[in-house]
Amino acid sequence: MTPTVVELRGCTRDYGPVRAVDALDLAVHEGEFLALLGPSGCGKTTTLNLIAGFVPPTAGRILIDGADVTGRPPHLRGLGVVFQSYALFPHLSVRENVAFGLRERRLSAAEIERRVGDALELVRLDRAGRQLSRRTIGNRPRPDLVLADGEERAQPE
Amino acid sequence: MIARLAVVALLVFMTVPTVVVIAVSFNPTAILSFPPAGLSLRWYANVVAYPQFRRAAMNSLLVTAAAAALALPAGTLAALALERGGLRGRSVWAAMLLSPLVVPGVAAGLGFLILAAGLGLLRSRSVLVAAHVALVLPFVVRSVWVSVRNLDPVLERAAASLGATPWRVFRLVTLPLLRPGLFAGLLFAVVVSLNEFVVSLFISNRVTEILPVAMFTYVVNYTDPTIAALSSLFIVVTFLVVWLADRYLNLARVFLRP
Repeated sequence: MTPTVVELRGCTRDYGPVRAVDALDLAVHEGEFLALLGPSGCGKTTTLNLIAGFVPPTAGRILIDGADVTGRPPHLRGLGVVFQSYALFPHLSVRENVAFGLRERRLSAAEIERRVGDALELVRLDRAGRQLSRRTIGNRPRPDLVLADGEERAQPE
Repeated sequence: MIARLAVVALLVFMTVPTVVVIAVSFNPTAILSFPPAGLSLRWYANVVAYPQFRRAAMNSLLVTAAAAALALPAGTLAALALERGGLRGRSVWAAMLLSPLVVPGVAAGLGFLILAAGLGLLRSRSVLVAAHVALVLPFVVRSVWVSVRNLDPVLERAAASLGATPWRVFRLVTLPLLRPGLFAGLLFAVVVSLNEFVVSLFISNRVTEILPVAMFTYVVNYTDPTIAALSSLFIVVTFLVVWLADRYLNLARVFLRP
């Protein structure tokens, strides 16, 4: 079996009196494609928030690449998240949106330029200096897919 | 038709006092009478020549600039804390922060006067600045709060997951998206502070008094159209500030958004 990339051990998360996730054990292996399915309110989003580090677990541990990241803030976890609502920065251009993660991970300007160019070419978003708000709704998901993709390739192999 | 008439009547009712003041300011005679007997700029010359008005105008600028510079960051942090701080008794905190809106100016002025006297700060502009900060804070908090509510927290999470430190998230995502509220808050702070009179009357003297107080003192002692001329200038400046803000910052967007 391939090595474990993400692992939850007995993860519980309470919101006040509500238990959103109850002692969840989960292991995701490298190369695996995993989908969480369930009715709304069953804890899918909370689980993802726990992995991303947006909310701390009430109990249990979270491991990424074998390292315990339970108390580690989101910006140090090195994950790429695609949000349900796309989460595009409305005050930035398409290009700046794609470059955001690369910039925060301190890649060189030339490298950022290259990867942004590649990613935008891949989804055929030309002249991406435009503000996102001017894009039509139908086009909306595309910059975000680029965002997650450009991010993924920013990770050390 | 009736609706249109009502709107016109309301507009006339609201603007007549302003129009009268502006008309009187061009009156060539030394009496505050309406309608004016002719056209003259001598009262405007008087305004510029009167040293106490110059000193008060300088005080106004200093106090307003300092109050706005202090109230904007303080009010922004307060708005963020109110919306997201998970405070117990949030409505009580909010009510306290907005309370200067409902406390009578005379009461607030008296309070500041007693405090300032106790601290030996009656001759200092710092008391005026402190009072103005308190008075404009509700406006700043309210304006910024609206923007904080409209801000999708998912955007900040996205930024964090892309590797931005909390400070970078604040600077690159939170602050830029709060801009409409920040500008509206700043605008309110400036306009409210520039026009503040009652509280300032209690805590200023001849040296520290701001323009509205100096104007009041002038009216008490003299009754010529100089004060109408200064009032007209005041109206024009305030109007310009709001008009420019509306033009470049799109105020309607700030206020009409849910």
